[in-house]
Amino acid sequence: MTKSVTVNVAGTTPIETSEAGTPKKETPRAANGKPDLSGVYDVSFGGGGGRGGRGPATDGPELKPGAEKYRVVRPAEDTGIYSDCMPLAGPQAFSVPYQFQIVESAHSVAILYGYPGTFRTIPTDGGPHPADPDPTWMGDSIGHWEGDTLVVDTVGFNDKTEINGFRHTEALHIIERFRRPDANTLQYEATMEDPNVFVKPWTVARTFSLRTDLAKVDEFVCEHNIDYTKFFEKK
Amino acid sequence: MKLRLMALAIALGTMPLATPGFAHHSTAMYNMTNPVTVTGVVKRFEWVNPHAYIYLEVTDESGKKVEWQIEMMSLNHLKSYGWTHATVKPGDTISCTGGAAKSGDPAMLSSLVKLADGRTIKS
Repeated sequence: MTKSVTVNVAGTTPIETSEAGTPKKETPRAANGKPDLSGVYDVSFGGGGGRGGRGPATDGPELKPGAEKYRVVRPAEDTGIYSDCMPLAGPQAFSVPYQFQIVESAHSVAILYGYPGTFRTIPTDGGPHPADPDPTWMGDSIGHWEGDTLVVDTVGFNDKTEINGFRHTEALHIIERFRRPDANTLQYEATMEDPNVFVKPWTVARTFSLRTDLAKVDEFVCEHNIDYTKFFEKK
Repeated sequence: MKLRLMALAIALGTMPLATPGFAHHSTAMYNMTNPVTVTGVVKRFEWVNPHAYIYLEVTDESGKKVEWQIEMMSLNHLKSYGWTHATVKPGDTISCTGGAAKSGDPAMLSSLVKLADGRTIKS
């Protein structure tokens, strides 16, 4: 992982540099002065197709009494959370070794997920959520800026997804924070609350890298998914 | 059937293959710790997600032709390794190294492919 150091010289503005000593490129800005988050990112550390993995939960989750059933327990011969190609919600959507693309415009931000070919459109013009949103896989998102941080509030989830090994109800509420401290880095934080499942909100944090070699995410259509369980040892 | 098919595969020893960040499904149904190599003629190459497939006609010791289903990574990974939809074509003789299905079916999750031109490429 690239480490950063700050060079302080008396009488000058500190300059962020990478470990290699080259100055970090500044955060690009949109016409309205806000950070322009647009770009293709993943959690790769150079080359390859990107690496997946969940972000560590920094605080919890702690299940309410009687909510143990929301903890996902997989049998040994399970093909895993991603094997059905269904959409992934909140931070889980960023836990796969695929790229995602942010497209920012003056009144909205779109996130295009390379896997499994889903997208979110996040209005940033101050409008509210629908009064009683229909449940969806990705939820209903609205965004606003707090300084240089894009804060995205999402409700209206169905109860078919899991996040960091926990299922949830339709009462799930996620607040995500996106920051681009320099051109090549996207910092992400997601706080989950569900009064039916969790004692208190819990947070995961991730850092993504800009894929300077990619201008867009690839098409992904899960057209040839098979029953992988048939390849387990016959009993 | 399992034994006969395994007999034609060349065991590479006990060194496990490096499995890349494999997100789409668990690899537990494949024997990744004891990789094998199969050599045959490409019948079809499916450039599709969530995994590309090569269908390889392998001739066993008795002369019987068996079609192996060779699973590879998803297209974004393959592209990063240098693959395109034209990297292999029907009629090519290639070798695939990977973990065979624990079920004994002629199926494999391939990690390395030796192409018809002699190049070896991650898969």
